[in-house]
Amino acid sequence: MKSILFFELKKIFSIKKTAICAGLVLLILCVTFFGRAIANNLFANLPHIKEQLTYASGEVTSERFAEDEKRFGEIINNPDNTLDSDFESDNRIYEGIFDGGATHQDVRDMLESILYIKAINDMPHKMIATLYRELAEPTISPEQTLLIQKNIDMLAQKGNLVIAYNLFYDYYNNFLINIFPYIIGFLIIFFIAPVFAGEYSAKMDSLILSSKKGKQGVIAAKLTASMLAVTIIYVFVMGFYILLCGAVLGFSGGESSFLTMYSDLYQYMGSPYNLTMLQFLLTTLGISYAACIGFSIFTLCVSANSSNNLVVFAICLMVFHVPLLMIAFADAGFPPIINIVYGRVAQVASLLDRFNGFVILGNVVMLKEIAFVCLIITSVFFGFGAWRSFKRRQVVN
Amino acid sequence: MELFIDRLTKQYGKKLAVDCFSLKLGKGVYGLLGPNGSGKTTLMRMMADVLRPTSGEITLDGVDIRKLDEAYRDILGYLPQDFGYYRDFTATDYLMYLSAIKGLEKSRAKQRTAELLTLVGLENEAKNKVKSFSGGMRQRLGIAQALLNDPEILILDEPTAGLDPKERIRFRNLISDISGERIVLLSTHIVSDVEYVANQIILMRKGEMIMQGTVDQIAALTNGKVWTAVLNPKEAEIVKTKHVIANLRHIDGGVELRIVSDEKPHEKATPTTPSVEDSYLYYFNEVNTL
Repeated sequence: MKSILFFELKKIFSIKKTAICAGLVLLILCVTFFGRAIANNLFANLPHIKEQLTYASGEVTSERFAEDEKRFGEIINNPDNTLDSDFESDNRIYEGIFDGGATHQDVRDMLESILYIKAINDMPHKMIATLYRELAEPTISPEQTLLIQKNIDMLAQKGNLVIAYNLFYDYYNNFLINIFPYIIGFLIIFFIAPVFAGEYSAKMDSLILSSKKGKQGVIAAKLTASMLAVTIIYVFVMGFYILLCGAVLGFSGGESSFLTMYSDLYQYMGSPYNLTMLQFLLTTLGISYAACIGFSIFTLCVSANSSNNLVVFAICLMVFHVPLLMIAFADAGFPPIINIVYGRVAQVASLLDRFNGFVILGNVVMLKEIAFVCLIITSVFFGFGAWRSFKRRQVVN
Repeated sequence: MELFIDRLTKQYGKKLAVDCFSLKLGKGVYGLLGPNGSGKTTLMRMMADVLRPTSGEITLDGVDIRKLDEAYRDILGYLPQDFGYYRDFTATDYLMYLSAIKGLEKSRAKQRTAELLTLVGLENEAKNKVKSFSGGMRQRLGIAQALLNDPEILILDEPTAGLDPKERIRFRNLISDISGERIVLLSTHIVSDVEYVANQIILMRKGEMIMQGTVDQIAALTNGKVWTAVLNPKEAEIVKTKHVIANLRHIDGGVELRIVSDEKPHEKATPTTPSVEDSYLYYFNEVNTL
């Protein structure tokens, strides 16, 4: 088995193909990171961002900002200036800050940031109030009642936001949503699609299937090698980006709330979950890895059923990337079920960013749990499909 | 050890590729002769357990080979007519991989790989990639892989395709050497490949077996039906249009013909000793590729 596994990995990672791919991926990851960093003038702003977030966390009080801070306190502590959940009063507060004449741009940024964080901190209470109003509606169904009650319970468990400098997590999250699924989906297809289809097109199937281990051991080795290959690819892509981010931005901020993404506070502000950044990182890594494994098994199943590599590529690209592109270009009007397709699960955000619950057999089940169960069921189904298709392969031409 | 093919049939749509084919194979070398499309490859694929029959079965000592599963494939060596390779694999990688999937231990695989590369004359190509090999070299590598597990049942589909005359002779000698305690079935449409090595020849046409016998028995099928004649070119042209010509040779001022015909094809024709090739031509009525 070990020998077969070694050769199966060797077939998947042929030297030339792998070297070119690895080079391209590293280039894309560097361009992704430094492109964003340069566009946001990160290196010049980094000390300012650190100061801003540590100030927001209440750890530091800057003497430099003493005068502005006093004015800021008047604004922020004025009950009339509390942002509502839709941020409708943004402009009024901005005007209050800017017309008040904050002397430094960084102070303005800081005020803005803290106002948003304050708003997000207050949001669970407002959402709970809204949900109680919905519960009081006479027309509400028992299922809706269960869902709202669950949502209220989850929101009620959220404490005050912990804020810290966490730009590393912010960059990670941005990568996970906008770049990672496209890259990993393509790499999985590129390396895994030929696992079975390549044997057919290379006319190796008759030799394999007529050999002693051709109908059991080889298939087991191919499935295992594919899982190992996907793990290697995942660790390579995600590991490199995480190390790159960490090397430049530092790894601190793991204890802060995942709702306080520096550059994208909107992303998870409605989330009912109560995770620290580190928990968020580990959770999303686990979910996206599971999605990659599930998708690679789907790819293997398609591969086992077609002798044309291009057909396998096309089908798998459609299944993984089309939902991502649909959402990216028209983020509305799709049923929640679209969020449990492979690409969207690998992206994770849609499973955590809002309350997505369903009543199944009288119990409230969250979308991420449904996605997880679906991944397991489809993986078993497609894994068995791949196994059976190759084992029962008829060598005709 | 006895391999029994029992009323084996393979149907593709309305076309019968193999039609109720039955045959008993004991130890020895069997040559399967037939024109293209006669069902040789389909029959061999079913024997190699890579194609399911529509009906009928193949048994080894009374047990269906599909029930034997791994145990059957463990003693099987198969060279398909059209087989592939991996572009990035060297000859050694290729044989080591196939050894692994045939269940050979690593040390044994290394030993067999070295032995067989030498046996097929590829010992100096062991570290070269298969993609750089000529057609003949690949075919020799294919023969080597079929022998990796020292199989008791060896199925070779067109093993001499792409081999030059010297390699073909080497292959024939190899088959003779290893045939002792095995069942060897080799298909070809090159009569001379099996004439020298096969204990039994099986003639196949349109999915059916039309004749089985030793080389002498098959040759004897055309006793009194093979003729030679030296004719002038004009006479030769007329004879060629009416009869199957096994051989044609220009000699001083005339043409020497070897003719396969039920009746005396020309008054100058004299009967001669038939060969397997003459019988092949007689039954398949086509000029063979030599």
